[in-house]
Amino acid sequence: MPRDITVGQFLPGHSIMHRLDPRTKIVLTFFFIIQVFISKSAISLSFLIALLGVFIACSQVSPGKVFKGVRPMIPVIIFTAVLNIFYGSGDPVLSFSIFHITKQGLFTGFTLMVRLTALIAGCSLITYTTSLNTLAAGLEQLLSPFKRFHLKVGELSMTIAITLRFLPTLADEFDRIIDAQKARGAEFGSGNFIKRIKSYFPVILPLFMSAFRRAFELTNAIECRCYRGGEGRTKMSVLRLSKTDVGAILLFLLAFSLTIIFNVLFPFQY
Amino acid sequence: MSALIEINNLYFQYLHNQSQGGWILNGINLTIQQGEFVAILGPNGCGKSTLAKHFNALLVPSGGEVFINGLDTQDEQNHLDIRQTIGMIFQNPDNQIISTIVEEDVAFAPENLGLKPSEIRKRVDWALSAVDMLGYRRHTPFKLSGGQKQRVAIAGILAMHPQCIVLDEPTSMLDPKGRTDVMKTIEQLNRELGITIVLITHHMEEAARAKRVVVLDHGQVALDDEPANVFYQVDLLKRLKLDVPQITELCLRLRKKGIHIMDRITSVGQCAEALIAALEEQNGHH
Repeated sequence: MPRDITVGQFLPGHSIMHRLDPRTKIVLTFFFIIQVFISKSAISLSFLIALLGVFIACSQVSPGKVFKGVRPMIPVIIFTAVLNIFYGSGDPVLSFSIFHITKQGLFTGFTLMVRLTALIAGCSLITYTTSLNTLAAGLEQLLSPFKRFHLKVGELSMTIAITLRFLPTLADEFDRIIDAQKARGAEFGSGNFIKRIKSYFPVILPLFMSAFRRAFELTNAIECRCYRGGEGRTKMSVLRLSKTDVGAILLFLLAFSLTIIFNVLFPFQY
Repeated sequence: MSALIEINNLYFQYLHNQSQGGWILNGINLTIQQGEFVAILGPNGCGKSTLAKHFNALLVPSGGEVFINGLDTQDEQNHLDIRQTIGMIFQNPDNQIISTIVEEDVAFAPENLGLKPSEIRKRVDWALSAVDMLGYRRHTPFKLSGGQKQRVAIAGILAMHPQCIVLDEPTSMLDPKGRTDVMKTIEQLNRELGITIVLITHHMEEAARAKRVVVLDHGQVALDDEPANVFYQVDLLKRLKLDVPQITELCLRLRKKGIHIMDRITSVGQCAEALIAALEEQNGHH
């Protein structure tokens, strides 16, 4: 893969994390995100990092691989963190003209960086350990109560699965088109902002054309395989909650309540 | 007992082009029986792929009729049965694979048919072993070679238990190794499982391995015969801008040089035998 698109890159394995029911993993990820947002103090943040460490250990995915997923987001993380350093009031450490760097600002910036990294690492872990079809099946099951409100749950999960399936394919194609345009003398990444944006038009248009062509071929292929929408479909692997799932949910609930207890006992203050 | 595929006087043009007149398929008559191995040849734009899409009701005739096991493709009620009977494989394996796990992709069709989980599992394992890819079932297709991906796609069709598989230039995006593997798989399916094969191709060597060759030109059937008889008509093929298999061409040139070997040879084995016979005959004269 020439590009660092790691979302949706499944690494087959047999770890505890791999064996968990996708529904468990989706719900746990959801609560993990909430936990990231409420972990503000140093103690709950350390606890969050420890928890992430446990998750990574349970998934048998190398930490390097997990943090590779964070890499494309580093500019965004740094930007947000730096912005927070200058924002807010408190004890000044450094100040020049209108900018004041405060102790509190530095702390917020730093913790924000850690929290965002943990957030992305935690979310990429679920895609490393869950195949897209299982993920889509889990989502479908979780959303199935909404069928009553005429939500096309089967179609929705199929759409998500196909989108994720074709992301790396289209990323590959994007690189190929860039190379082809470069070979004909196109320049990318030079000139001012507007010029740079404009230089990508000759890439985006062929990419759209090719995406449409692929979509038509895919339509034929799934029609040939008797796809008629979600109605009347069955699944090869039926989702069943195991003892491991129950254990994981209980342990996570414990961890989640611990975070809340930490927050109550040691309220966040500068 | 009706034929597996029966095409009567088929005319076709896309709706948005119909005002301009002219037909992509211009009166095709073709019958294919259960168990046959048919290759369809023709120059670019002759309507090969358009014809293929009529075999499983992806397209329906503008004029004439197509029957699959006696079921009319015009009737939408029949489409599910028809698509289960006639599976189809396309050129680009990437655009046919919908899952990131091999066995989940193969399970897609039986899942659509609403089969029981245990039955789906049985079919998936069977289909993967039929194309010799069982060892890769937990792999991600993204990392497989082109030939392997195409075999996974074939397994995905096999899992529907079709009577016939139509392959639209299945090897044209593959390397030589992938091409050989896919061709071997196709032949095996035909020979051992009795699955009818319709192979659309522009590789003459591949067409020569079929038991019957249909040559299309301007939306009409130009030739329909055994490979040996089709490739014997070198002038007609050249006029249609089609090649002759290398081995047939070799024998033809040898004959022109005065070596007495029989005509209508389409395989290396046949050619070798004929050459040995010719050499022995010559030695006998001296």
